[in-house]
Amino acid sequence: MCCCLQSDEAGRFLARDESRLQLLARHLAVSMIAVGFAGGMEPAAAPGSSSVPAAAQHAPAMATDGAGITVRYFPSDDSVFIDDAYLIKGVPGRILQKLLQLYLEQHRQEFTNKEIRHDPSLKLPEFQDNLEARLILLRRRLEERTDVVRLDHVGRGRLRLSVGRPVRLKVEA
Amino acid sequence: MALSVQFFNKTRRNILENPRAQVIVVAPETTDQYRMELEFERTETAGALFERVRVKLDAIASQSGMQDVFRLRGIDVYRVIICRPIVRPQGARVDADTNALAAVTQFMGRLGACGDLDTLLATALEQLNALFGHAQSFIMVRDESGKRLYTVASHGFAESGVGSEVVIGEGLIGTAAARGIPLRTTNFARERVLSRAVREELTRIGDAGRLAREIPLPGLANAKSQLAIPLEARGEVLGVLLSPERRGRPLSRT
Repeated sequence: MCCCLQSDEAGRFLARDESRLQLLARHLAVSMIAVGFAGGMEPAAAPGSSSVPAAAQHAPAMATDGAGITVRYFPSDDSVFIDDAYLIKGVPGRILQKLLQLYLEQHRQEFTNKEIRHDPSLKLPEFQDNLEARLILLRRRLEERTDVVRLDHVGRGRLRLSVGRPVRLKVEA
Repeated sequence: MALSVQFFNKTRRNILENPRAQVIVVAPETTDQYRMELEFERTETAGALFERVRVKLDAIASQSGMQDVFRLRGIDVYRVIICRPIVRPQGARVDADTNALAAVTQFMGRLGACGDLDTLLATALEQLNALFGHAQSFIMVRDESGKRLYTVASHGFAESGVGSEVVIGEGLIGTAAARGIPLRTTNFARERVLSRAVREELTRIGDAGRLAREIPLPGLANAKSQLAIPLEARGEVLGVLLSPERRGRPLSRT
């Protein structure tokens, strides 16, 4: 059975919609805490993965083919631009700059949330840093803005940075 | 029945001299109109009722950048003498959604199956659409400073708006987060003008060759009304769930 909705019904379910959404939002909030949001314990990295030093890891081949891109980093507000297009600023910008630096200098592609959290140069708050939410944001912005750099979740508390074309990291004044 | 007092105007002076009034109210759920005859009783300048009205007004004022203009001075409380429908009200509302509890249970089940934050947020927004018809929604969470919210997940918008920010305490969303109360704007005309102004400003900055560092909020332009619901757990507001409603969106199906 189908019931056609008339224009005067537009507001009819507003109040019920609102209380139902409140109920769902409350459950969502509790579920966020349950998966470790806002100061919850970081899930431990899966066994076998690591904060193993870079040299011990399989060193991946660096991207050398195709036209390169320039990732521009502005330390004043931690903003990152891919060529001239704005990507992100603040904490996620700082994280991306750091990961790219490790990729370029040490040919590393795999990282753990734990090492990011404890990296003193990233200046993350010790508690309630919501690193996981910041990484989701960074991953999405990369997906939306570039096909050269990707950040993938590869198991609990682990990340992989994939770079498809040569990247130059430029720190701007 | 309470009316807000923001300015000392002629209407209010008349009421204080002659304490009878007539108002027409519209029920938002049905758009039915009623005419009420009132008798002025008292003015309140503090207390639970006053606070409730003040929070709503602050949110609306802040949304339109008028937070320093609109100050609630008090609320006038009236006794309702009579309340009559202006036209015959429509028939009794039939609760079409008899499966509401089943849908809520399903929603909780889907969320319970998520092991990480990314999957959880994406699933929640997908299921708000699949089970409850909220085709568009987004989630903002607190940043490290606790002063701003940023969009971490969104569903159903042409531009996801992920990464867009608002200041906690400002505007509808910021006020919902600061006070931990759900807020709705229905003044879509004003909101649309606002969002257009913001977009024009962004375009202007972009055109001027400066490197714009702002991401616009997801899809306010066509929203009929916007509902901001705080995500509250463990005694703190973690973020806000936003659900704009488009004009003519079917709100329920049978």
